[in-house]
Amino acid sequence: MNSQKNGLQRGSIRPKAAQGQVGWSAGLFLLLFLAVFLRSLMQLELYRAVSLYLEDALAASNLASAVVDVEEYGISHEILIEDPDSAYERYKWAVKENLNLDGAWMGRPGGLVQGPVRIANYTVYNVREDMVSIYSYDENGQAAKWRQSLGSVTAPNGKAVVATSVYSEIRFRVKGFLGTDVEAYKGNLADIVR
Amino acid sequence: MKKEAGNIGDFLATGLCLLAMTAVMAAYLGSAGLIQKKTQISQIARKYILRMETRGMLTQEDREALCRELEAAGATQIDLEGTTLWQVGYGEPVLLQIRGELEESYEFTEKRASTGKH
Repeated sequence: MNSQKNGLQRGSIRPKAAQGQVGWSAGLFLLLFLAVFLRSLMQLELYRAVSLYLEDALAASNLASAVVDVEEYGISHEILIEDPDSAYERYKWAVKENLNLDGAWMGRPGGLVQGPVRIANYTVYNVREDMVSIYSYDENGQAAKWRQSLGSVTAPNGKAVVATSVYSEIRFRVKGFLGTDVEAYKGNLADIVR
Repeated sequence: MKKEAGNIGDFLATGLCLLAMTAVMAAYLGSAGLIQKKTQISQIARKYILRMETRGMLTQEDREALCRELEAAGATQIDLEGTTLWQVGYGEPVLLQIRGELEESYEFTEKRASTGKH
């Protein structure tokens, strides 16, 4: 039916108050969108900061654990990490300090890393001439030892081992969006010769 | 000229939304700024733990330079308690521990550990 025939004005069907509600709704929608967008940006910034922080902490811990056998260096001029078991103990101490973890390996309240943090892998690559002696510790601290020829060895992160190095990988939880937390891991290969 | 009805309501809605958006934006910029400052402090700590590795301790001149850099990054109430300030031997632990405040209200602790390589 034609509304003009019935004498009604076009637009009079919608109440006047509804026009204002459109403005409010659009404004609130924009506000909500902006809040969600900025929160996502903040989360990305936080992940970037955590990634950088962990990269530094892992590299520092790897280097802290790598105490060179000075006697061996004096005799053969080879740079080798002395006693991998002691190196692993030093690494555990260093990673705990560098990530500021408590006695139960948990992140401090308010920190970027949520506990618990686990050492998934710690491996020492001692390169002597053309052979690499590999000492690897798994998540339970179980050690395995084997030898491979230089050139065929790659660390678990895909980087080739070309000189005496230390690789480590940790797993941890970080705060996610809307109060959730997600598991993440980070690995680092530190070449102690170059 | 007579004002159209509802103009004040529309203006109020726009004004309140703009005000709220400004507040949200300001909160974001404040938080992002804090994260950046904390990252900057981490980088400073990294630089000085490497120096401590090669010297076996945090020397007096390094300590002064570290405090200057931290202050320049916006840190206040700086406390280095727990830091290795005495010479350690090769392979022995060195620790750098920085406590302070950012923007006078946010406390932070930055820890770096390594072993002497001098």
